Amino acid sequence: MRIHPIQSGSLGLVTGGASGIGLGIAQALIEAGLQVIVADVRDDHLGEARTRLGSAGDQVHFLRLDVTDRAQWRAARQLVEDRFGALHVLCLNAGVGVLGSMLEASDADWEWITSVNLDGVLAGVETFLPHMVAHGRPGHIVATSSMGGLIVANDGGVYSAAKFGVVALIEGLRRDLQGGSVGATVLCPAAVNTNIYDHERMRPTIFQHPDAVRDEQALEDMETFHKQLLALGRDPVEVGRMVWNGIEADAPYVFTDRNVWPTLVSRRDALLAFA
Amino acid sequence: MSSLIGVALGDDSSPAFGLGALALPIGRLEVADGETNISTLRAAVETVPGAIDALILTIGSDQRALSEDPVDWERRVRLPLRRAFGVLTGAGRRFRQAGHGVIVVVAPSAAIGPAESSTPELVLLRSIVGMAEALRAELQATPVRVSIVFHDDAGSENLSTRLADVLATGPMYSLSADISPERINAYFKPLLDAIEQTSAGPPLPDIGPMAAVYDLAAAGAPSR
Repeated sequence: MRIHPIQSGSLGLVTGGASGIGLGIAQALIEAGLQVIVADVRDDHLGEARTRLGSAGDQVHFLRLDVTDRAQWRAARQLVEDRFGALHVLCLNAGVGVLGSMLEASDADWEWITSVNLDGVLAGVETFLPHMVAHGRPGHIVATSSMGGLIVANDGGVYSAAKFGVVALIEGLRRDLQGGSVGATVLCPAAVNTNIYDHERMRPTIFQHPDAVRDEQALEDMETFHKQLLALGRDPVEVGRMVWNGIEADAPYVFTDRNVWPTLVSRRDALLAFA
Repeated sequence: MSSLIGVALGDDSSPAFGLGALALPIGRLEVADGETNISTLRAAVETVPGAIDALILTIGSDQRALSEDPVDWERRVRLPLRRAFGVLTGAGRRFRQAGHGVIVVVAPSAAIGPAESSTPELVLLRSIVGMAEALRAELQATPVRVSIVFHDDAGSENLSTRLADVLATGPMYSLSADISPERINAYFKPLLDAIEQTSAGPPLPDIGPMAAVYDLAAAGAPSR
């Protein structure tokens, strides 16, 4: 259990912060009185976030950050230390929601999905946790996993491997940090109204299949299906406020939909059946 | 079951003792320590000559202290996870093509339950469990089965008997004695409590059987 509450005026950094759940978290932190660095790899989303969060004035800052790049993480820490002194809330939210067959996944698929969804979280912890512990003021780490980090489907093995790891990371950190100044929470969202459906189009060149030919029609159909489905999902700002409540309460887990209860029970019961 | 191959992952080969006691011809697939290319790892499994009925991937316990500063995430998580993915999907592709086969992941029981092992080990083990469960889900419509066999550190359990049973019947899990109902419930209770405290999200259309792999009949759970 973290020993002190996060104070107004503290500094937060949100990766993947310029769209979707990340933008919702950034907005909720701003509402709570924090200074916020919105970090994102996409320049178009950073531009849109500047417009959306413009009324926050000097309370919000923008940073281009590719979470797969260690040098950029080090630069982010240098920026925080030089310009702000200390970081208090680190939200490791950047992720890519690419599904598909494990058996057909290429080296590039594995590299991209795990580099962002798991390594990007580990890199954030490696970079900022020593700093957060050293300054000694109340702090908190939030990592965005997924319901896919607790249960699996038949078309998301690479994604689930990464997201299971993120849940484990936060559970381990909570144990390691117990009684100290830094808390940790894992967010396991279900359907949220985000742009996760267009991630395949933002795949960086270095993570492209060398010999793949993209089926534009199939991609468009898949995007349309998920866009329509997620439009029915929870509002990202509402999710951001749930995350802030979780930070304040030093909650181990934040979920976004009570309706996922039976699916997690089914996994528990499967294990119990073999015990 | 006529033949199987074993692949060991990690510094500790303690679970391999269970393989030695199996009354089956066992080949050992040696994968170079530094090999992390998924295509190469898959090819190593897919091109093993002769008929192979099962692949057993054993993961040893991480004997390092709870706190290591700084943590070498590359060596302790990223590389073994990538190697596991290459080997397991190589076996999945081979057995799917052959129309039969059993894939078994033998992992420390620390993967299930509240955090007790070091954080890097916990991350690696849970990631591999998620990977193996998802592989079972992906192959569920085929004759290929994927099982996870948990072993405890004491090594006193009859691992070879459980392995033989898993190879014959292909259930989703085989638990070591230390994974008790109390331990399972202790892990899931805070998760389920947190979900219960959450409001219901907007209603969504039915998108199919998420988590269908956990259906007790599909998981091959013993009848009570």
